[in-house]
Amino acid sequence: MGYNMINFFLALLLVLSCLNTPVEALSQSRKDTLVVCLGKALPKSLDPSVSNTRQVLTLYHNWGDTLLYRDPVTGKIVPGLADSYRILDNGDMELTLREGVWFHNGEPFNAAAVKFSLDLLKKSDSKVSGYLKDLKKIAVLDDHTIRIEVVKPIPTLSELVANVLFIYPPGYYKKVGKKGFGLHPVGTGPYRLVSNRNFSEMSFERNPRYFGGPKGMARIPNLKTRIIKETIPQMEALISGEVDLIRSGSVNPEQVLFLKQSDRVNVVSTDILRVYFLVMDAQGRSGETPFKDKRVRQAVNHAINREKIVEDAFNGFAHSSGSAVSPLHFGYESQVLRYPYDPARARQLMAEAGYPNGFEVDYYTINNESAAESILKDLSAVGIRATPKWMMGKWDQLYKKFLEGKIPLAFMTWGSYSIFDASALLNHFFMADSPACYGTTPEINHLLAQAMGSKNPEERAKLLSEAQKHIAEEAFWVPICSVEVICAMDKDLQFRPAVDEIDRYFLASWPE
Amino acid sequence: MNKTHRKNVKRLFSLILILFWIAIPLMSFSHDLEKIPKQKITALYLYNFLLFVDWPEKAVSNSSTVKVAIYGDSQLYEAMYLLAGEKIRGKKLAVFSLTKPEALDDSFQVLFVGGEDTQTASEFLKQASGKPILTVGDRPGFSSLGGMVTFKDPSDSQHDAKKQERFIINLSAVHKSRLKIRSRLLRMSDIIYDAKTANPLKGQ
Repeated sequence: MGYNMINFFLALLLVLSCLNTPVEALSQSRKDTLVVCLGKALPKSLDPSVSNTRQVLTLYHNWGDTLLYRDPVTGKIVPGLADSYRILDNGDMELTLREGVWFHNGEPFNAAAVKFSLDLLKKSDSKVSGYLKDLKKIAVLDDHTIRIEVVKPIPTLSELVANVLFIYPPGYYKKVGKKGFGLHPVGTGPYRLVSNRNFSEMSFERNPRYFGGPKGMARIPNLKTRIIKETIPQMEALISGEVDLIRSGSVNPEQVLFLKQSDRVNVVSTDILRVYFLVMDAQGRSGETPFKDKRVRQAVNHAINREKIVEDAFNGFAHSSGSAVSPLHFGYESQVLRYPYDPARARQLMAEAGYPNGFEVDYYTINNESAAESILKDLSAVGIRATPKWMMGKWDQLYKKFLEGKIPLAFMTWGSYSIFDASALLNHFFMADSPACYGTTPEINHLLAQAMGSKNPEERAKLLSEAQKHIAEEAFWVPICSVEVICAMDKDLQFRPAVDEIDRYFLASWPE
Repeated sequence: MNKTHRKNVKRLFSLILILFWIAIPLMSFSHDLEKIPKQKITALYLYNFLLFVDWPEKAVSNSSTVKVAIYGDSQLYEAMYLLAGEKIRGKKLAVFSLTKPEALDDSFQVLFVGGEDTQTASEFLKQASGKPILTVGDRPGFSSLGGMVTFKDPSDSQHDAKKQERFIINLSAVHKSRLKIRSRLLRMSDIIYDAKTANPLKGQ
């Protein structure tokens, strides 16, 4: 064989070497990408004013920013898109905005964008308008200075600004509209959306012009998200390496035992604000319901075996509750009236209320099927024949129905928009003017209003505590538990779930 | 350098290139190429059957253990054995590798039948018949033999989480044994009511 032949043969081998290498491997090694299973539910929009699911909120904080930001390590609120901020004596907040910040489409971030955003979020069809109702307007002082004017002082203003005041690019939003924005949002955040395949598969890439700020540049250049509708295939995808991480909150506690046996998976958990509860329609908004009678609500409280639910359905990753709020909320009160598990007492109360043979009711549920089934069984044991309306993965539909006052009984969960103050939950569910209120009293309403008007933390804590005591005495809810968030991931991935239940994928990294 | 030496150097160089050609893709996708054995995934499903299948109260109330029998699949036995001793729904898991159908009695809750031998599989199913034992297999035609749960061909559904139906449930066999399968498993399955209509040759 001559030299030419040998050289040809060697060159051919080199070409074949390249051909034999998967194209994807050449262009994008594993260390360049993080694949996250977002959970079961398919979002219909990535706009957080349209959909308030946790997956949409989580993604927002990865492709978007807020003026203030919660540091996941210290838990403190620090400037984000703002350079600095201060609260004025009248309760308004004045902020200096960062200069040289751009939206992914090249649009500049400025005071006009903040004003546009609040106006948009306060519209009646916005999912967060209730949270922002006491924010009057944005006064533009100059291109990079604004004042958030409030109707009255808001004790949780900085948390609202950090978690609910999402920032929109006015030019892009006006161009593509609400639907277009929901499909392909544009923000200032560490990742930018590259492709969206009907929300079931999305690709993001690192924002090369990111200003850094407290989040810093995304550590992993590419982020891919997937929706997997059933729990077991989610676990299968993780074990087989198809996905690197299951979104915090999407891991079913029952699967942890199996996952811990896998040498490829790491399971981490942390306490979060999220609570699970059973809401009864005490106002009769959904029609004539037995829950208008306090004795029936007390009966339901006695009928449910919370400890068993915590142990079995939540596999111990939860703490049974007496109060409606989480121990992590400011103002949490543990010394509320508790209803021990006592089916005999429940039946007695039902009989006293005129329901010795129980009654029938529609029962809506969305999360943790095992807990929902357990509740169903407990209700049945005291004669409440609940017809389950399973709405797994359909939070937006359930929540719409809930706000419309069409639900007599629901097993639900609430993460308080990551606002660490009891008012974030109590005002939403127990203030008379809230569409999410299915039961309150003038006393509770007054206590909550007073708590919102007070600047004194001690006084606020006392008022919030009183409100919780009243709520427990009235038995408006059956508080089931506050939970830990579980995150399951590839054992090599460096990532921790956050106490505010917002996964910061931009902080995840692969080892060098 | 003489001619022979030059030849040897060339050969060595070629050999290195060939090895390099083989190794590049292995290095690039080393993690993905470490394909997880299908038994690990089968174990995940068996674990979930233990969670979401309800046995008649009488069959489980007197025992503090939940027992799984495995025939004809040592890798699955090893994968399941990692969970042995753990508490599932308040009962300790015990995993047994069985070689003879006679060893299967009422105290078991799950039987997995692997292997190629249809005759032995039939004998195991006969032994389980009438008992509240969930019978699971992965061979085509397992339902026709009277099996309750048949995993689909891995090349068809494994590692593709978009495909929902992972297995076939023979509901008439399940009902006969007085077991109840919860909706979250039914949602992920193809359900058949009369196994006789299922064609074993087609893998149903």
